[in-house]
Amino acid sequence: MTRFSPLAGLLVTALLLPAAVAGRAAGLDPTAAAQADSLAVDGRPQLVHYRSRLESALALPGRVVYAPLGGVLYVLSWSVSDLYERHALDHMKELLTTADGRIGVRPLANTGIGTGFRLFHRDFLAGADWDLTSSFGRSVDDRQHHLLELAWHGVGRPGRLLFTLDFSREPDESYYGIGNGSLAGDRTRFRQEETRAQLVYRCGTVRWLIVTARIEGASTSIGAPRYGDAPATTGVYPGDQLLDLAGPNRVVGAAVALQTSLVDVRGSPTHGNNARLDAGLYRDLDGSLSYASFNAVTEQFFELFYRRTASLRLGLDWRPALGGGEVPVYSMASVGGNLFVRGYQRGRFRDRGAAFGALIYRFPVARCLDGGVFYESGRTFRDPADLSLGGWHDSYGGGLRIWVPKGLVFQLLAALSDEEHRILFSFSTDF
Amino acid sequence: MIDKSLGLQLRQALDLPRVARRVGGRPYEAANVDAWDEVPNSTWFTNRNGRFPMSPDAVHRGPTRGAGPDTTGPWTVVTVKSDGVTPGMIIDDVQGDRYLLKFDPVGFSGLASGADVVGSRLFHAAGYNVPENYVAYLDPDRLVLAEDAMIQESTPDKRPPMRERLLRRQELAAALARVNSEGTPRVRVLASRYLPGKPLGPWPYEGVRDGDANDVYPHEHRREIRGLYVVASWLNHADLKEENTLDMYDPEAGIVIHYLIDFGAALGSNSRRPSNPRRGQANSIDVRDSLVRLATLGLYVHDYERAPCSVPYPAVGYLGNELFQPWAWKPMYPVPAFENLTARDAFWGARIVTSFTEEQIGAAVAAARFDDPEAAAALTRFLVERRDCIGRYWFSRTDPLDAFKLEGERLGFVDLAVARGLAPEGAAAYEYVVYAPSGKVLGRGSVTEPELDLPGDWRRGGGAMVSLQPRRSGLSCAPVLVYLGPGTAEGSWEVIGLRRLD
Repeated sequence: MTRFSPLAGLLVTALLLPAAVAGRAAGLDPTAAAQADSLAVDGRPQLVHYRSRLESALALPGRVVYAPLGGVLYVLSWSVSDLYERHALDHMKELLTTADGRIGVRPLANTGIGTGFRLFHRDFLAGADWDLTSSFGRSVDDRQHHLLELAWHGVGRPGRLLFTLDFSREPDESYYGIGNGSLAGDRTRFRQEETRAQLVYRCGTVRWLIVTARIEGASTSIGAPRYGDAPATTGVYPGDQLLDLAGPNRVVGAAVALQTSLVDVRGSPTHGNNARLDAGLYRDLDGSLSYASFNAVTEQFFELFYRRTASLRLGLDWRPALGGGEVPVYSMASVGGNLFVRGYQRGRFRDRGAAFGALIYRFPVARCLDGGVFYESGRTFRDPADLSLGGWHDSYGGGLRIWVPKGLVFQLLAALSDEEHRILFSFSTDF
Repeated sequence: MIDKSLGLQLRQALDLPRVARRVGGRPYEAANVDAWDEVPNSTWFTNRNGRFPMSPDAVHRGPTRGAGPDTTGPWTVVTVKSDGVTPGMIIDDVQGDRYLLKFDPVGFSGLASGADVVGSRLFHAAGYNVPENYVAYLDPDRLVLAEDAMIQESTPDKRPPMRERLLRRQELAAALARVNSEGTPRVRVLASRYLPGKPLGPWPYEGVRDGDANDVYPHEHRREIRGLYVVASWLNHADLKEENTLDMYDPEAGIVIHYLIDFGAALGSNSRRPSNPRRGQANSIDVRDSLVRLATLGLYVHDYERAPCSVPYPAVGYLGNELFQPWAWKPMYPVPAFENLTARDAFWGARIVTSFTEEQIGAAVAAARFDDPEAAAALTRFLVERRDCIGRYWFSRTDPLDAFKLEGERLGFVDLAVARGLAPEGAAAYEYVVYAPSGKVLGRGSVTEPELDLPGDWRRGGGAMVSLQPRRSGLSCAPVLVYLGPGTAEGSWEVIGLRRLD
């Protein structure tokens, strides 16, 4: 508890007392002192000073203290005014787009990878669009991510056919040991490069349901990280789990996904449910890797009172190996990261299966600004029979989120676990 | 918005003399009042119904000088504002008068136009300068395109338009189709006649306008702006940002005239939809309420969050008075003058508000030409209830005695609370003390009628001061001091000033 300082009290009194005395003296005849300063000059009225010179002098310290704060607010107001009211971002977009709006470029900044750009061309051929998004780190050896998307709209009436070609390079990808009991020190780094091609059909038959079918092929290679020696993996990964590390792995697969959104307000739901189901089959062209993938996440919202909302979020991700094959370490299910069990690093616990649950309480703070607190728990498993009430890893925290009716704009969270405290921010996530 | 919501409150908190005065019960009083605590007529304000009761016809007419846009000829479209939601239009009629046309939101015919017209009538009768607002009916076939007609491209929010370019005929048709999807031959609009003179922009809410030699009183200390708090609370005109004020320069007279504009978000309207219980209860960014919710993790629920929002009459929107507290009403953005409101300012505003009779209020509502008489009646009831609530509160906080008049040896006055039906007649005793200029008590007593006989020797000292204080159940106020002295005519005596104490 803060203790009141007698010195501070004396200082405040010394500052306020003369003001109070002056105020009382002036209060007996408030206009006289003021009008004494407002003598007409050359018949023209002069500005009326509503307070005496003594009071104006006593107001000076406050103005000095306010000056830097006022400067910050002024810059903020001016920035908001320029960006928002003068449509600065809209005008910048127009500068970077052709007059018909079909071709353009957008700058990008991503704290995960770096800076980059997005090129797009709408309706370039038979109603198709293409987008090329590229992000770069500090050098060509640094992180890179390039995504080329070709999209045909109106296929199957409400559907869209997408072809994507994706290349990513992560020179220092972190991996923890496999298994629910892996230690924080069991951490290795790999250089990972992946090229992936996907053909996706996405169909929204009704507003709340999106069905996606995809076939894909990916080539992934893991090697020594940018800095340091080749990863010492034997202590961390038993030999039979390193089938994927010998050279580039080429995997093909097919998957189907269903996504439903039955909520009242997407940006800040109080009723309804969001859910996503995904199932797929994957196989290495060499035959040594073969696995299935089942992923289900659902979040149910309950309004407690006056837009104070509780939600229960449950998820299950299972990648069973098939036919004696194995699941690549980089494709394993995991908990930890920015979405699930957020008090742990991304991929902190990794295995063939992962389960998690979260209880979230969200409340309105101001217009389009919500606060929230959460408790979540998750674990990984080798086989569903391994799931038990023990071994769950807990995380809790809270934060603020800015939203618009169409969805989340930005959220800033603090997440705590027994390993670390994390500050996270994210944009536009469904969960 | 950031400066209005945060900067102003920070500046005030750090203004030590201001804080000391408010703590000590001696806030800065309004700087532009006269010896009778009144505001002279000026380019800001004209004493109307509060001092000189207007006829219902005069209230109904307001500032209007005609019947609105001339419908005997075409309307030439000069500019269309297109934000994708509800368009606006600027037209010239055959008389050459220019009007701004605004449309009601779809499904709420009369909501914004009605609020704008009723608001303008009542603000005008209260004494403020407002534009000529009319309810008119647009015939799409009457519209013709000016050769250089422009369209303002806006976004579906309240930001200024992105750009202007030449208007194409099909764009005008598309804009009209958005507000008249059923293709009715007449579309209700608000027609606001362009103000005369050269627009200079909004009033600054603090300080004075640079370059206006007549603007000598800081706006945050003008009585008519401080007292606007009470009038605005009556009409629930919470959208009082600077952009809803306008200074117009009259080049012939060489003066700047100060207007209030845009009342489409007053009463039960929020411009694009009905209002809600939060309007008037919290600022748009209410720092205090937000901090309370954050500190209590949302467990504390404000009354306006609980209140149901029912709209039985779409034409007049949400009309709820259950949460209304005259002393706690809040505009969307803090207004510096309102932060300086004193009991005297509030009394001045309350006197204006309570001067309106039900007949006058009904006449103002009738100017909105609502199709549903029940909606009009509901709006009239809303305003009458709110008026009485304002009167009961502010007349219990300051001495409600007014209209002092000296006739011979008798000083007469009016108890506004009784005169306006807010307190029972005959239930008050008026205690008085008569002082000579030297401070000597010449007489004291108590009367039950609003008049008292002065002691015979009261003129001997060259004048007298009378302290008058009503005693009534539920009334807690300091006395009013009435100064009597020689009048302007030879040998005459009159009331030469008064002062309401806190």
